[in-house]
Order: sequence, then C-alpha cells, then structure tokens
Amino acid sequence: MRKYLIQRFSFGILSLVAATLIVFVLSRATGDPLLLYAKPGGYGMSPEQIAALTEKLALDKPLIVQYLIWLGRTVTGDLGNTLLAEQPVLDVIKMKIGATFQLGLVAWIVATAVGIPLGVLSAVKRGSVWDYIGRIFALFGQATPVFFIGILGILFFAVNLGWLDAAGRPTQEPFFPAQFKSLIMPTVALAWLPAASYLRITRSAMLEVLDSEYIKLARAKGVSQRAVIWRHALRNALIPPITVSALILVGFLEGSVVVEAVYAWPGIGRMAVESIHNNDFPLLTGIILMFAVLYVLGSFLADIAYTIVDPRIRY
Amino acid sequence: MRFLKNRLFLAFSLLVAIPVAIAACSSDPEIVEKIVEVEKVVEVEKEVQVEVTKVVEKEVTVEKKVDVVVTATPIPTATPIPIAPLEPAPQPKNAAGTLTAAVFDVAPGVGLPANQAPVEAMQYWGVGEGLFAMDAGGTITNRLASGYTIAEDQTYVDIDIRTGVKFHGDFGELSAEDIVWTLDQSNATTNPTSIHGQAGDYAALFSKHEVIDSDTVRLTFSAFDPRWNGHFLNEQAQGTAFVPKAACDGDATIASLSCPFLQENIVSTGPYSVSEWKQDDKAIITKNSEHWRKVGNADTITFLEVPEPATRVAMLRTGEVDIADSIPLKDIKPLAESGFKAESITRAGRVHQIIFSGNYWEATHHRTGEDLKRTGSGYCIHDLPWVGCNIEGKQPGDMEEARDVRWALAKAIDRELLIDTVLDGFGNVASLEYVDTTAEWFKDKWLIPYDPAAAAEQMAKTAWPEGKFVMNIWTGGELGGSGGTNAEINDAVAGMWLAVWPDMDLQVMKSAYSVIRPGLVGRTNTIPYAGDCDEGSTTIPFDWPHGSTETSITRGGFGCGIEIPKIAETFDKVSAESDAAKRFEYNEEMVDYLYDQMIFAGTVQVPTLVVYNPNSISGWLGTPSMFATMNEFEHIELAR
Repeated sequence: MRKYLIQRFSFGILSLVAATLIVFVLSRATGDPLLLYAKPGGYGMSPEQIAALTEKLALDKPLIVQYLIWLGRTVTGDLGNTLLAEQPVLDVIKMKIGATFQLGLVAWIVATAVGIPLGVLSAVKRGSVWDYIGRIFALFGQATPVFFIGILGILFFAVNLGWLDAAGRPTQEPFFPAQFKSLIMPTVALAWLPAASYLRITRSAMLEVLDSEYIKLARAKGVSQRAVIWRHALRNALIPPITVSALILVGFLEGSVVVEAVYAWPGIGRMAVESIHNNDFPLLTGIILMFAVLYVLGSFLADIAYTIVDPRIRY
Repeated sequence: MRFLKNRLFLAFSLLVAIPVAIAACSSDPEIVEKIVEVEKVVEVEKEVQVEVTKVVEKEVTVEKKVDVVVTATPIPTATPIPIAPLEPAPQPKNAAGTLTAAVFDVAPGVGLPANQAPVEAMQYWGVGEGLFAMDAGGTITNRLASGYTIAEDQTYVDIDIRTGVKFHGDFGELSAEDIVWTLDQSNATTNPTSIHGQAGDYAALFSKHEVIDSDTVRLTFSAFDPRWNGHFLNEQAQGTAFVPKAACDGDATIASLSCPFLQENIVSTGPYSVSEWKQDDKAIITKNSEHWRKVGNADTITFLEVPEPATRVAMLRTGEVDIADSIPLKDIKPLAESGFKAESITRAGRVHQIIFSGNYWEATHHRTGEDLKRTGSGYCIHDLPWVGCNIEGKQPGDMEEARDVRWALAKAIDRELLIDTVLDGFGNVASLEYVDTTAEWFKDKWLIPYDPAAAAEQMAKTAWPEGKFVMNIWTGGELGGSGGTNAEINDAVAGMWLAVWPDMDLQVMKSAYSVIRPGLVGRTNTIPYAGDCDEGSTTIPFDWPHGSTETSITRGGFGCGIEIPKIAETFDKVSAESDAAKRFEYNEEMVDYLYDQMIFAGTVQVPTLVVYNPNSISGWLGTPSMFATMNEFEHIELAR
C-alpha cells in the first residue's frame, strides 16, 4: 500500500506539472497576453507601456523560464496576479469556488441518489413499467441539452408558475428557503445527464451480476430478495458507477459554464472561459492547476473506494 | 426476441412521435396552390341521315368535346396557434425605494487607477465622475471641472476644479492633487506599467499633469486632440473617475503602486457609493445623500450579472429585476406590448458594417515614417478579390477591380429587409462608419443603394464574374454574448450574397473575439470583420477626428483590419483644426472618399435599448453616451 501511495503521489505531481505546462504553452500560442490591454478605440498602447509591461510580466524571457518562475512562486502559494485587474489569482479563485462547490456537491449527491437506485430498480424489474420509466428518464437526460433544460425550467417554474426565482444566488438570504430554492433548477439541469449515465451504467452492471451463479445460489439458499440485491449484487456492480462518480464529481467541482451562464450562478466555470478569452494566463494557469488537483484527488479517492467496495482489490 | 421487439417498438414510437411533435409545433406550413384538372365529357350527338336498307353494324366515331375545368384547390392550412400575450409587467419583488438591474457583466471592482483596466462600470453606474460630462442634448458640460482655459498654442490646458465635492467615506474633498495623482497613476507616460483602460490614450494626449494651486491643474498636451474633454476626460465616453490620494497616502507612490485599500475598494465622488462589489456576481451601490450635484431617488441599486439574455427577460417578467440591458430585439416588442418600457436611455446606436479587411494601403508608419514592409512579402501578395494593392508595379488595375468587388457586395445587401426581419423593425439603414443616417447633417449621397442586378453587373466586370471566390466574414461567437444581433445580420447578409452569386464559397465565422484579435492588432487580418468597429457609435460627433484605428497610427494597438492613408491625413488635419465647420468639411471629404472606395459597407444601425418595469420606474432621463447602454441613475424617477 505504501508503494502504491508513493506511486500515486508521484504520478499526481507529474500530472499537475504536465497540465499546467501544456496550458501555459498553449496560452502563448494564442497570442501576446498584452493584447488584453489593446482596447478598441483611442490611441492604443504606447511603446513605453508595452516595454514596461513586458518586463513586469517577464514576457521577454524564454517560455520555459517564464514557466519555471511561475512554478517557483506557486510552490510558495503565490499564483501571481490576474492580468485584467492585478488581483491575486488565489483571491479571485476563492471568490468563485464556494458557489461552484455548493452547486457541484448538491448536483452530485442528487445525481448519485437518483441514478444508482433507479439503475438498480431498472435492472431488477427488467422489462416492467419501472424499467421503461427508468430508460425514458435516461434517454431524455442524455438527449436533451443542458441549456434547453435550463431555459425551459426558468420559463415553466419561474415565469409561468412563479414557484421559483429565475436565476441568481441569494447569498444574503438564509439557506432555507431562499438559497435552497435557488439551487433547485440549476441542480436539476446539471444532475439529469449524469443521473442518466449512472442509471445506464448501474443497470448494465447489475444485469450482468444478477445473472451470476452465486446470485442463483443465494436465491436457491433462500436469501431474501432485498439481501440478494443490496448486499450481494449491488456491491459487485458498483465498480463502474464509482469510476464514473469520481469523474462526475470532479467535473461538477470544475464548474459548468452553461448552467452558470443560464442561472447567473457566480461560479468558476464561466471565469475559466473568460480567462481564455482574455488570455489572462496567470488566472488560467491557476484555474487549471486547481482542476488538475481536483482530478488527481478524485481519481485517488475512487481507487480507495474500490478497495472498500471490493476486498479483493488490494494495491 | 421479445427484447428486440420491445426495442423496435420503442424506436418506432419515437420515430412517429418526433415528427408529429415537430409538425404540431412548427410554424405555418407553406400554402401550396394545387391545380386540379377535372375532365368533363360532353357528348354531342350528331344526326346523320342514312338510307337504311339493311342494318349494318358500323363503328361511329363520336366527337367528344371535353372542357377542362381548372380549379385551384387550396390545401387546408393549419390554424395558427394563438400565442398567449405575455403577462402584464409584474409588481416588483424588491422593496420600495430599491432597484435591481440585470446586466451582462459586473467588472472587477478595483479602485486603484493604475489597475483599472475595465473602468467604465464605475462611472456609468454613477459611482465616479469625470472632469466633463454630456448634458441631455449631447453638449459637453463641466462636471468635476468648473471651467478651463486652453493655451493659445494648444500646448496645455488649465482646468479649474470644482470646490465642495466630497469623496465617499472620510476622504475629504476633491482637490487638484487628487486629479493629478489619479492621472499620474493612469497615464502610461507617468506610469508605464499602468493597465488603466485609457493608459495609452492619456500617453498620446498628455505628457504631464501638474498642480497649479489647490483648485487648478495644468495638463500639458503631447499632441492636441479636440476630443480631449468630449472623449478622453468625459464621463460618458472614455474618461476616468477620480479617487482620493489620501486613500493611499503612506502606501503608494507611482513607483511602488502598492495600495491595498484602493485595490479592493472603490472610492470616488459620484451620486452613488459602493456598498458591495463582487466581480462577475453583483454590485450594490447606495445613494450619497450629501452629493454636491444630485441625490438619487433610489436608495440602493443592485446590479446582477446575468450573462444569458433569455434569463434577463425571464427575470424582468417575474419582477426579480426592474431593469435589464442588452435584451434581444426580437423580445422587445412582446415586452413593450405587455407594458414594459423600452428606451434608448443613452441614445447610442451601433453602426453595423462589413469592413473589407486586408486593405492595408499605408507604406510607412504615419507617425514615425518607419517602413511597414508592404513590398516583397507584404500584404499585396494576397489575391483576395476585395483587397486592392496600391504598390506600384504590383498587379496593375488591382485597386479598381477590388473596388468593383466591394461595391458589388455592398449593393447586394437589402438593408430595409434586415431592419424588418433581423431587427424586428427597430433601427435604421446604415451608410458608413462615422455617419449617423438619422442625423440632420447626413447627406443622401452617402446612402448605399440596394440593387442586386447592378451588383451582379459590377461583379461581372471583375476577374470573378460569377462571384466564385472564397469569402469569410468574421462575427462574434454565439455562446457567451458577443455574437447576438451581429451574427444574425451577418447570416442574412451571407444569404443575400449567395442569392446573387450562388457559387461564392462563403462562410460566416462564429468564433470568440480572442481568435481574430491577434490579427487585428498585428495588422495581418484579411478576413472581413463584420460588426461595429472603433467608432461605430451614432453619438460620436461628426466633427471629431475619426478612424485612428483604421490607420498605422495605432499600430501596436487595436486595428480594424485596414490602414488607409486618407483617414490618417484627415485625422491629423481635423485634430489640429480649431474651427468646427472646417473639421466638418474635412471629414465630409474623407467620407466622400471612403464611400467611393467602399472600404466598409454599412448595413444597419442597431439601437441600444434598455427595458425597465414601469411599476418600478416612472421616468429616466439619460444623457448621450458613446458606449454605455444606461447612465444617470441618479435621475431615475421611482414609481413607488
């Protein structure tokens, strides 16, 4: 196990360096970061301004040197300042991360709590009306664009019925009921597709397991249906959903640009896209670093979860 | 087998259901007249006298007179589904005395001038004030300045600073020192690492800022520009708001630029002060009850960032917001019919045009004389139909042929149709950049005719008689807001061109601005750039110098994809001219030239409308602004 942990840790560090290096290089391939300051209209930037900013941002140094300077600062916790407003990157990310994590965690819990049980039900009641309900739920979840669900939800629940607010995150209000109500529509929009994925993957895994010899033996021995499903079958069918679950959770924690735009949710997804448009490379690299850390942690947790679910798996 | 049957059944059901759903929800089907021929046989019996001696069976040919009756039988059409009218404007959900506005963007809330790249939000929303402003009629008025005197040789201007203007909080009164400190922080000449939105403009305009006495500043011109107070120091254009030096005393010199307080707090002199500012989320401003000029009626105004236009419309309809900007034009009429008010608060319209990028005609830099290297491996080697090459010896006749191509493309655009369909009846035809077709001084000779036959004829004279060439038009990306109406206009224009020249290989490129920007700044872009460029606002006075971004003057900065010597020469002439009538004349001559060359073909002038709830706001007097969609929040009259 120790060897495994060391291996995973080393791999994680390599992944972080690789991800940030690739993004750092690609951000330069899109053009000069100083273009952010070349505003339409007026006289544009003066040559002295260009020279001074180039020196300040170390843009005159070789790319690899720039990256090593950034890496050296990052190790000490300094992610630099944004190009757009000279704000510390860490502070800007902290400003947004709460909203993203809140929505992401809630959506993940909902997707997991809906998708896996429905997948089990669909498999156990194969061919029945429950199976069809589950599969139609999955079909619509996978076929319907998130944007479409979002806008329809606003039109129906906010504009027509007046049950919920159309958008926004009312942080000044107490969690119940205001903030809770503001979470409902974005959560549904975000969680439907992954719930559909969970359902199909769980159903498929369960069907395979339910046809196994040991399940037949358990039934023959008189084990109750509930025990057969939840204690024997599901545990063996959980490996694929766990893999998907880790990816889904990490994806949610990285923000959803579409849901954040439609529901005016002040998260990090949209900020990441804007940093690309602005070629704000310190902010972009900082965000990618955060995403890479989340991914490494997520896949590590998934590996640990395998060992809990399946005792045969040992590292 | 059963499983397969079930799958097939499900698939079949969907195959049936989906088209039915589409048919049910689709728009009016096309009415097709079907001519049905109905054959009507008329038997005409003809009596023939025959001596019968014996009955002989004989075949007799009977003439059939057939009347063909043609009836047009219309196919029954679906009854249009009545669209329920929108609910009337709702009662606002906010408390009385407060307003909430849904806006596209809440910029970073940085108060330190050196780091204010996106500065306009602060002043357009009433938090900061400029030295000058516009009145309701569009005339330049004093704001924080109480007067000024320009030196006779136009080398400097002395500005008198208004007394009794207090900063928000405990930072005392505005003085000349604050003005100079703010400008020193912002101007790239005095602070080369400034990223203020006007850093480069101030560097080109002012070489020095000095305190003469507590209420007088002297700004020394690098080069005189008649727009100095109407544009670069004007609250409604690209001016700056002023901040207290005292907020950074002991912290910041120009050299150090370290002022944590102002980096995180916005402090200025406006009718509203900042209570809370969260970038990309919300900004809450509170009225300044001791303001020297006007105390606003609304106690607080909250600006919410709502990137998606459909969501902004929804929030208006639910009463969550009282004001929304950048509403799609197709949504304006239904909202107006249900009682919302749609107004052009700042009277600003955007001139949409197709700029025929790639026409870089300047051989040397207009200011420095540096060779722009357009010979040899320069831009003249592009064999693009709309690009003319004016380098002697290169492709003679190229300039005239390219001009014919541009004119043909311009004449093939039906501008009235664009207004009726894409703009839903709003807006006006456009001519060229810099000219407002609704202005009193506009001349009909600058109107571009719609004549597809003449367009085809003109193209037929060129090396591409059937318009068979590759043509791309860049518009903004559609997701994220930068496309919007531009994208629809450009799609329509593309369709109009294809109607005349079906063999044209045409593509409307919908990509993020950051994709095309390097080419615009680097002066390498040859893709026609569709939208409004540097000065595509109808509120910009005609007698101002125009078009610096369409010349080599702004090399190193933003450009529109063209560099025209005539524009550069006129820019300098107008900048140096103190007589407004003469400036007008020079610009008129330039517009005549640009019209003749058709460097940019205007399509439509798109109004910038703000929608507000009349149950919240009973009146709103804005002032003309070059870029803002809404301003003068202190003048909003509340309905409750």
